[in-house]
Amino acid sequence: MSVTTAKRQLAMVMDLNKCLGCHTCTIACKRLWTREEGMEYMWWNTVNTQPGGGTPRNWEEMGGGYRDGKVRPGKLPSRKDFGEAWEFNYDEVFYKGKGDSVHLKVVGEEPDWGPNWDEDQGAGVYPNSYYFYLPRICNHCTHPACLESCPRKAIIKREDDGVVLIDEERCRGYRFCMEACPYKKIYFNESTKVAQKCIFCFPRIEKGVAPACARQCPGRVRFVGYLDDPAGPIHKLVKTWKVAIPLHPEFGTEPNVFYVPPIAPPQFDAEGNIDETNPRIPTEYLHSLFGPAVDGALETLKAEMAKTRGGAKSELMDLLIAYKWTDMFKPFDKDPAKIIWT
Amino acid sequence: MTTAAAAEISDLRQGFESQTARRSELYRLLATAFGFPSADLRKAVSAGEVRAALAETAGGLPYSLAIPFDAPALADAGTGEDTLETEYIRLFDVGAGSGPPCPLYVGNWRGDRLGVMEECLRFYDHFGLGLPEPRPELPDHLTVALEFLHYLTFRQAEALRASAPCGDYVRAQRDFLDRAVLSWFPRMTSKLSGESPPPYYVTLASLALAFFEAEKAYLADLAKTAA
Repeated sequence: MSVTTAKRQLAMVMDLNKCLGCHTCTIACKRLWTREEGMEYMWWNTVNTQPGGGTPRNWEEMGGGYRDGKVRPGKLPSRKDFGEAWEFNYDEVFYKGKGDSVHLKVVGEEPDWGPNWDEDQGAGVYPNSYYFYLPRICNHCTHPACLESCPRKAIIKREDDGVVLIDEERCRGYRFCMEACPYKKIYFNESTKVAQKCIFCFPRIEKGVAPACARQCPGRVRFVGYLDDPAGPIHKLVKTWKVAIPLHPEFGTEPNVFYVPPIAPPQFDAEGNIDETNPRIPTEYLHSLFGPAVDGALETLKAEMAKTRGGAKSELMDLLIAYKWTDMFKPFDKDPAKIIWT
Repeated sequence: MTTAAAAEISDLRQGFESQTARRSELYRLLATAFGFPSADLRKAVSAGEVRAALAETAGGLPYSLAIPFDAPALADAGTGEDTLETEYIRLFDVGAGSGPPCPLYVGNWRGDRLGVMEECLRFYDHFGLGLPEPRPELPDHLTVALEFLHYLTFRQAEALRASAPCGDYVRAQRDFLDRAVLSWFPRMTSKLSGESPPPYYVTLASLALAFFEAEKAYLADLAKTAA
């Protein structure tokens, strides 16, 4: 395993207790970066319902990442696994006088999966059914398996901020990166024959503006900053409070997107009484996503919540509530409307 | 590495400098021939354009080469549309399992890859060159090294035409040819022959090796004369 050469690391924290599954982040990203030919099916940012198959379908079982310090190739996700960019019969419904008899549907092969196919399904049995939303982007890992697996050395980790980028001029579309990435956040462009993925909005970052997915989020879910900046929100949530933890740390890539895990309401017992001892989201399930660190994170969150309920002040709760959005992105809190983009 | 040399090389075809211009052109042609077999390159091979260009250029060198540059294999792009591409990926770019058997990166053969790349970059930088943007190859790739030798010989030819000193270019060629090409290319050629390569690459590697070795001897003579 190679050691990162990045001097500093940009990171993102997503508070899963605040994500309402509106997909504004996804659309912000789509409109900005993936509108070219060959990118129709790409969603560099996705929001999936957990538990669920995710995007691409069953990505958590596709392998990749590291084992015994070596890159472990996994399954190459197909376009179908991600979900095709469907074409609809707009013409027929809207312009050919069949609006009363024909309903809007996908043209061609009937799809059986898509980027958000199992939205809001979740798991569990009423009244203890549950789900939560899991937004995902490229994790800009400290040990990127994609970078290590590329025979062309076409993937770089930027020294100044740790952002992982694919050099599309060097990429020859071999797709080893797609096999190696355990989070399956790399897509293949069939038109240009290169691999493409989230770029952490680096042109915005370079101008002091947070990534579009974070800046546009109406739920104030996403925090952005340098991992080593003690004055910034990331350091406080990840290092100081330890309430933001990586997804699937066992993959071994050391992701730099961190999650504040969801606090579930208690279950109802057989008599319909509230059972405070059993959270609706099974602890084992959260362990399977975030590892054992989730226990400490949830304990801290619950303790700080209790503190505020008792009338005391909690720095952590204030931080997570994010009264001022600019506090979430420092130093990337510039207004994109006031930037001269060249 | 790109220069405007190719467009202007015909200007140097007169007199003594023409032989140097031919050497320069041959480096450029070999850089192209060892590049990734794009559709355009594949067509040029099939149509015999690559072979013709190599043979025509080799004819004007200041020495004769034992290996003919008009071998039929140099026009053999294989039966399938992607034969050359598949073989290039297998032999030079990716391979199977633990990497390609015959990588075209100097650093893969010499070791200390980063050190080798830095050495190459320092050579390029000394002569005012940088890598182009976008940069499809890393600085220690054979094609980049050959483009640099193309540049050095071109500048030598220009200096000859202007009756200006060209010792710097000759010394740099000798040094760089030794370090960045002859330090590994013979081993690569030998290994290549055991990897069932397509005839195009066998022949190309053999004649390139013959050319590099002839260059080494020629440059040694030039240096002696200059001394």
